[in-house]
Order: sequence, then structure tokens, then C-alpha cells
Amino acid sequence: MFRNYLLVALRNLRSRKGYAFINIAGLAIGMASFFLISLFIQDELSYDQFHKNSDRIYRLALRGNTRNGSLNTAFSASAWAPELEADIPEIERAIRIKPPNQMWMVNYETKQFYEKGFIFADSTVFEVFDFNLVRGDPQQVLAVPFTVVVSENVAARYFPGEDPIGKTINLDSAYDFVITGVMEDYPEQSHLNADFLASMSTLRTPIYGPNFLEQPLRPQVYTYLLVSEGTDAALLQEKIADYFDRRLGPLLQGQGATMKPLLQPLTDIHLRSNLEAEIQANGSIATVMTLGAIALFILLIACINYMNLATARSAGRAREVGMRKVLGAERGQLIRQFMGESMVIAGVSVVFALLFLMAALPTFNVLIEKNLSLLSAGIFETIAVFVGVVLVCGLAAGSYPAFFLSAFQPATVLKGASSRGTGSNALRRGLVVFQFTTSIVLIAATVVVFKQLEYTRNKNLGFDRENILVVQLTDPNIRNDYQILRQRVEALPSVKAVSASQSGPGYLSQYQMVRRQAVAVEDQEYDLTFLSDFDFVETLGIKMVAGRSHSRDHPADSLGAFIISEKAVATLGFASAEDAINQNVVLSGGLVGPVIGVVEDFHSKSLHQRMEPTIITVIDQQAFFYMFIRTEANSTREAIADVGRIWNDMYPAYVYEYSFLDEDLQKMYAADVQLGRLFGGFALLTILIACLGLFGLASYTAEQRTKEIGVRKVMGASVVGLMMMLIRDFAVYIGIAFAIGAPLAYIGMHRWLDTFAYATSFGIGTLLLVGMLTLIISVATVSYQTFRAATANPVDSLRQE
Amino acid sequence: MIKLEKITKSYLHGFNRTFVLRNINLEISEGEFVSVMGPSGSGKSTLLHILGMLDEPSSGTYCFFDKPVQKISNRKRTDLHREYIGFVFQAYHLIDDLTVYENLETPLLYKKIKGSERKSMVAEMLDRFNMVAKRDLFPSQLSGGQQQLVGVARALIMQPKLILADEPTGNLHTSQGEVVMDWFRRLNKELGVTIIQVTHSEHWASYGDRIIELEDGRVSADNSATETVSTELSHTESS
Repeated sequence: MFRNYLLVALRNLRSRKGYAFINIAGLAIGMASFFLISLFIQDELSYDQFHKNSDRIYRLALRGNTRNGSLNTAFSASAWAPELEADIPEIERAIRIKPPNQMWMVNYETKQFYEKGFIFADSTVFEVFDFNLVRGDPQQVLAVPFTVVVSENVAARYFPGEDPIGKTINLDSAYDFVITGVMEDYPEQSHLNADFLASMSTLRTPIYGPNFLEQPLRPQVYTYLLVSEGTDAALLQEKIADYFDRRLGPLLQGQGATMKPLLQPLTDIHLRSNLEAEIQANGSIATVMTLGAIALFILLIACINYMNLATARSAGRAREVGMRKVLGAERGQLIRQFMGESMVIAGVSVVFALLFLMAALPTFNVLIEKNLSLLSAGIFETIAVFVGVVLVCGLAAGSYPAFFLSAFQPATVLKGASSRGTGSNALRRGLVVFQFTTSIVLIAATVVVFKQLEYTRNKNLGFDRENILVVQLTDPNIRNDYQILRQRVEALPSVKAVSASQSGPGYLSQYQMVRRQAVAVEDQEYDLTFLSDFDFVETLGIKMVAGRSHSRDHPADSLGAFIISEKAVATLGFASAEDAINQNVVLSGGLVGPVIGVVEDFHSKSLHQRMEPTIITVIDQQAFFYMFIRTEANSTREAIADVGRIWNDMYPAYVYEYSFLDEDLQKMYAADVQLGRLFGGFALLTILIACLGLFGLASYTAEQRTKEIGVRKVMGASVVGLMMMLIRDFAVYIGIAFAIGAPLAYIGMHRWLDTFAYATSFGIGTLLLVGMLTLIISVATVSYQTFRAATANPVDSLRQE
Repeated sequence: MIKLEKITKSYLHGFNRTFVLRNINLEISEGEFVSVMGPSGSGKSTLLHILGMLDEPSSGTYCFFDKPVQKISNRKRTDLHREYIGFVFQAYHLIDDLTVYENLETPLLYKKIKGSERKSMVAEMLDRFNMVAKRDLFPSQLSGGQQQLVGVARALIMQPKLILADEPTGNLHTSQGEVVMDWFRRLNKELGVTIIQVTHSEHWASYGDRIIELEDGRVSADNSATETVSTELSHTESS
């Protein structure tokens, strides 16, 4: 019996190649999309799961308030970890980690690399995280300062063919570290990346200052807690809050600030944590869920194609159903037969899906910046997913046609040679509308994401982001000669202005406690601060509102003279910009000086965030990390070359690297760009599958209405008139799909735009455009079939009956 | 074998009820070869569908082997089809995607007959109808007459007691029709299979032993080939 079904199914496919192609292509694309997204989701969900204690590890983050806003940071202060471990019995281990602010330059003999994964960690880190040592004893490797454990990958990079143990590497041309251990490469699926683990005790030395590890208030390290089995996290958080009150309460008194602990399960960090100072850009559970929904929808749309086409051509199968019933088939047997057919289609499709998947995976990896492979979830799981998808698709796609077709009454369908399947039209229309609703929503989402990205590129940020070359001063040796470098670059004809800073828009941010000298210490606030060289305002093109900018003509400017933004004028409590001029303010380090100028507010973070009160001050140190070079508008190329010549002359040992400020700023939107690309890619696939289905449906409609078209032509209908008549039906579907999809897209995308503090707007116009686009695509899809039907010779179509 | 009492079939068209069959009383015994004749729309096919339990009468009783079957569950009906009834259609209704062999095999599959027995039954049928050479051809590769022979063979393979044929020769040339009708006659005479055929043509009708004429949903004549005047005429016309 089964063989009989299989034969019919396969011969059916062979004899109706167009039908088979549409079904298999649609399902295969749908399945491939589903697999791609599943791989992505699986990868995102696997973050930090590989630690054997992952369910007992928490990160201690910080919530609270400062004068000018809330504090939500992943950082904690360095003194807490050892004290908490001693204080609270449930905490088995508390460890600290300190990744580099930017990156460290690591040297070994002639080899030199910038390393982002150079992490300082407490020696007990091995008891908490699964850093698996290949060489070295976990008790010993980080016991003393200036020791480091490297990953196998690093070992191979720096010491190919040599034994790394005992070798000395050099950090930023200043500090020597002895390699005491080698660890397995740390998995990519972690919220931190660690290629080097250096001993935390090193940081007592001058790298970050002598008291770096005993800071009770400055959040600048990450703290992780390994708690004992069965610990209630909420209760533990209470206990830590008590500790905060005891320990920090007296210190915070009079600062107008509060601090509360926030315990984050390790495995939640990647998808559910979005604090300040995250170690790396995290994923987002919203993206994962959105993509999951898209995956299901695409698969569903592909299944709908099958259902629609199978029922649309039911006329052809009705006779067979009737005859089989007359020959003694029970309905259940027929249902099984048609289910079997859809299973066969699904089975064939999955083979093609696999091919698509393998072809698309490299591009997809570039798109999402991951290294996914077909088997990254494990061979057994992968096979299970494939089999599962075939079964689910076979069942979902086959169920409706199976019940629909098997219900035919033999007396009705066997009467004549030309019986035709009727009914189910309403459902079929509904399904087509569903497909196009999904397409419209996805296309609209794509358009809005790209519109917002365009907005981020064109938004006036309060400074002129164009024609600014950024050179990072990564090494003390480079920074020490900054003034010479600056003077030489400034003299270039291709360069308009030069400045430098410890932080910069789109790069690192720094904050300082600031207050008007006239107010009490309690009223100080935490403001974004640029510790910069002269000409910072001029080089970036920030607009002055009042007063003057820093100038080398005023030597006292480098001893404490402040430019504040308009927002800071308000939060510091000045009556107006003019009023602020010449009033003294105090910075946390005790630096006192007058406000010399006020600038317009400018964006130094992504448009997701509101602009903050900002202070710019000139410091007379060789401690700038970013050099900003404003080039003459049409001389960017020369400027790059000119600066390069000077660099190579001054620093022959260092590679000359540069970037453009406007491009670097756009990197803040990497996640948004990724989302846009994913939406775009899958929107394309969705509409492709939907159009495949529409094409199939159009050909059956044309076939069904051949006689009607013939009669109408004989009566004098024109080809254009007939085509309009045939296309009108489909246009109505698109219209309904638009009516449903447009509000969904409107609501959904406004919610997405709400994640930006500054967003573009879109309205019915954009949506109408999307609707028109969909209409044009679908009309183009059906017009071939309708044109053929409308131009067919009526004699041929009418002769049949 | 078959007993119809006051069988009526009607459809509701808007507010009007259209009668296709009116008050049919009919008895057919095992071994008869009956031809049902009548003009288009006289209800021949509907009558045949009711006899084959493909359609239900609006009222009246239908006894098949003394059991009422006018209201019958799908499962029971399927059982009766498997056990007793073979169908032959004007349009052959072979399954396009199956070969001659597989078409013949299909009813046996539904009857859950074992592989070896199935093989010999199909082989015997192919042999009997001289179609061994055509066993692997698809219906579209056969002439109409050959297709209809496959249709007859398929109806016969289940060894039915009753064959219902709806204009079996309607799509065939006369010579092809002769072959099919000769087969019916042989089946009737040699195996005692009851045959009821619907036809337009006097010629094909004359193969039967008894001719029932329908007109406007009523039986207008019922002539046995042997007794030219029907005695039952009076009471079948009693409505």
C-alpha cells in the first residue's frame, strides 16, 4: 500500500514539474531560512552555558542614582569581591576581572599585536569559570604579579613551535609578564573574550595606580560570584544590599548618590543585560525572538504554498479520490496517502534546503558576524531538527489538502470528465492574504530600519563629523611625543586643525564628579567629561554659544578652565549660558577653575541615548588616546599620506593606523545594521516564496477560467480588459494584506524606534510605498500567466466541451 | 438482490424542489443483466449512483441483499463496495499516475490481500483480458477501448456480485464497444455476475436481458427481453 502511495506521489511530481518546482523551491527556501535562523538562535542561547557551574555564577552589577541621572553599570568596585566573599557564607568565591579599556599592545621579540582579550583576573578565577589549563597548575599560575596564562591560539601565534612556558611578553612597551600556563581557547559563545589571563595582583603596581584593588566606590572592575548550591538569588541580593548599606552608606552620605546591587545570572548576560560598560556589545533577546518568529512565519508561508496549490488543483485529484473510494478506500487511507505525498515533498525539499543552507551559510556568517557551521549544535541535534522539520512541514502542509481532498464524494466528482474542485476559495484567499501580510510587515520593517540608519548618518550631532581622521595613540611611547606629532601634523597644508583627547564621541566615555564651587559637595553631579588638548571644540566643529574656547594664548587654560554644554549649564544650576561664564566649578580630582565658554549640546554616544551634560577641559599631560585631525575638505587622501609619513618617521616601530570619525560613529549601530540586513534578507525570501505560490495559483486560476475567458473573448472582451479582470482578484488580496499588515508594521516599528532617543519618523506614506512595491511585485508575478490566458485562442479553449 | 421501494431523489433549488427520481420501485435479482435507458436528465445516472450507494435517496427504502442500505455509514458502505460492487465509468476513471498493473492492483490493496495472492490475481486478470504486454503502460498510453477494458478488469478483480456501468461504451468506437459489451455478456452468463448498465443507445441496451426505461424520473417501461410485456409495469407506474 505504502509503495502504491509513494509511486503516485513521485509520478505526480514527475508529471507536473512546474507544480513540483514551485512546491519544492518554496519549501526548500523556507526550510533553509528556518535552519539558518535556528543556528543563529541556538548560538545566541548557548552563551556562557559551557561553564560547569554556569547556573551558580552571577555577575554583580550596580544600580543607583547620581545627581544627574540613574546609574546602571555592569561595573562594580574593586574592594567588594574579597569583602563579600568573607562576609556572606553563600558566596563560595568572588572574583574580579579587568578587561582592557581599549586594547593592549603585546610584544614578543619581533611579534607585536593589539590584544582586546588581555584580561586581568583574580588567581581563583579557575574555581569559578571553566578556563581549562593545558599547562600549569590552576592554584599557582596567577599567584604572583606579572604572570599570565595564554590561550593555545595565542601560544601558536606568538611562539609557533616553541614552549611558551617561562617566556616573557611585554605589555605596551612597559610591563613584562612571565607566561606560567596555557589554556584551551575560550569559546566564542561568551560575553567576554579571553586570550590572556594575567594576575590581578599586577594591578597594585603602577599600571592603574597603587590603590586600584582597594577602591570601595569607583566602579571599574567586573565582579562574579560563585554561590553555593540552592542559593536564593533574591535573598542573596538583599544580603549584598545590606553590605552596601553598611560599607558604602557612610561614604555615599553627602554625595546625593545611592548604590544598589544587581545580581545577573551569568547565562542571562549575553541576551538580557544592557547596562553601561558591558564588556562587549551583547545580543538581545528581542532580536532572538523576532528572528524566531520570522523563521516560523517563513516556514508557515512555504507550507501555505503547498496547501494552496494542492487544493487549487484539487480538480485534477478529485477523480482519483472518487475512484479510490469506489474501489474500497477508506477516508483514513486517503488521508494517509495525501499526508504521505506531502511528506515526500518535504523530504525532497529538505535535501535542497541543505544545499541552500550550505551555500548561504558563509554569507550569513558575514552578515551576523559569527562563525556558525552546520554542526555547531552537534550532529545528533542537527539531524533531529532536520527530521523534525520534515515531519512538521509534511504534516502542516499536508493536513489541510488531505482532509479537503479525502472528503470528496465519489458521486459528485465521478459524474463527468470535467468536474472541478470548488469550495475552499475563501480559505485559499485567506492564506494568500496571510502570506502577503507577512511580506508587507517584513518589507516595511526593513525600510524603517534602513531609514533610521540613514537618519543616524545624517543627523546633526552638534559637531561636524566629516573629514576627521582619527589616529589612536595606543602606546605610552607614542603618547609621550604627542606634542611634537601634533605640531608637525598641524603644519601640513592638507590639515585644518588638530586636537586630542582621552575620550571621544563614539569611543570611550569618561565621567567626572562636577559641581559649581558655590554649592556644597553633596550637590555635585556625574558628568561626561572630555579631558582634551587645545582646539578640541574647533577640530570637532562644536558650536560655541557663549564665552570663548580654550586657547594657547591663555596659559592658565591648562590649569583648570572649563567649557560646558548647554545641558550642563542647566544641571549645574547656572541661570544662563552667559551667567555661567567666569563662575568657578570643581572637578572630582580637586581641579578648580572658571567656566570660560558654553557650547551647544552634542551627541557623544549613539542616538539610542539622550545627550548628557558635558564638560570639556584641557589637561597638560601626554595622556591622550585619540588624536583628531580635521583635514581640508578635498585633501583627505593627501592628509592620510602626509600624516603617515610623519608617523613612520617618528614611530618606525609602530604600524600607522587611522580611521574616519564618521565611519567609527556608524559602528555604534552595528547591531541595528545587522537587524536591518536580517530583516531585508528574510523579507526578500518571504516575498520570493509568496510570489512562487502566487505564480502557481495564478496558473491554476487561469486554467480553471480558460472557458470563461474563451467565452468572454468571443463576446468581444479585449486582452487588456481580461488581464485587468484576472489581476484584480490578486490586487484585492494585496489590498487586504496591506490593510492588516500596515498597522502591524506601524506599531511594531514605532516600538523599535522607541529604543532610540532620537529617531526618524515614518508614516502612512512609507507604508503606502511598501504596499505599492508589494503590489507591483505580485502583479508582475501573475501577469505572465494572465497574459497567456488572455491571449489564448478561444477556439482552443472552447472546443474541449 | 436489489429491492427499491418508493425511491425519490430531489434537490432544493431556491424555493423549488426539483425531482430527479420519483417514486421508483424496482427489483433486480442476482444474475440479471439490466440496461437502464432514457434521455438526458431522466435520472439514469442518479439511479445508478443510488444503486451503487454513491448517493443517498431523499426518501424510500433500498434493500441490498435484504438489508436496508439507504442510510449507511461510510465504513459499511466501503465494506459493501469492497465485497460486492464493481464500477465501470464512461470516462474510465483510471488513476493516471499508475500503470495498468498497478491500477488493477489498487482495489486488492484496499482489501488488504497479501502480496503473492495479489500478484496471481492481477496476472490472471491481465491474462484473461489479453493485456499482459500492456501491464507496465500508463493509461495515457492506451486507446480508449483498452482503457475501458482495464476499467472492466479492475471492476472484476474484486470478484463482485454486481457490476454497475455508467455508459461504459459512451466514449468508445463501436468496435471497441463491442469488445466491452461482449465481456459483460460473458461475465454475466459464465460467472453469473449481475450487471446494471446505463446507456443511451438501443444497440448497447440490447445486450441486456431486461431494459428499464426512465423518463422524467419515472420508470416508463420495464421489459424483459424474454417477456416483452412487463407485468410489473402497472404498479411501478402507480404514482
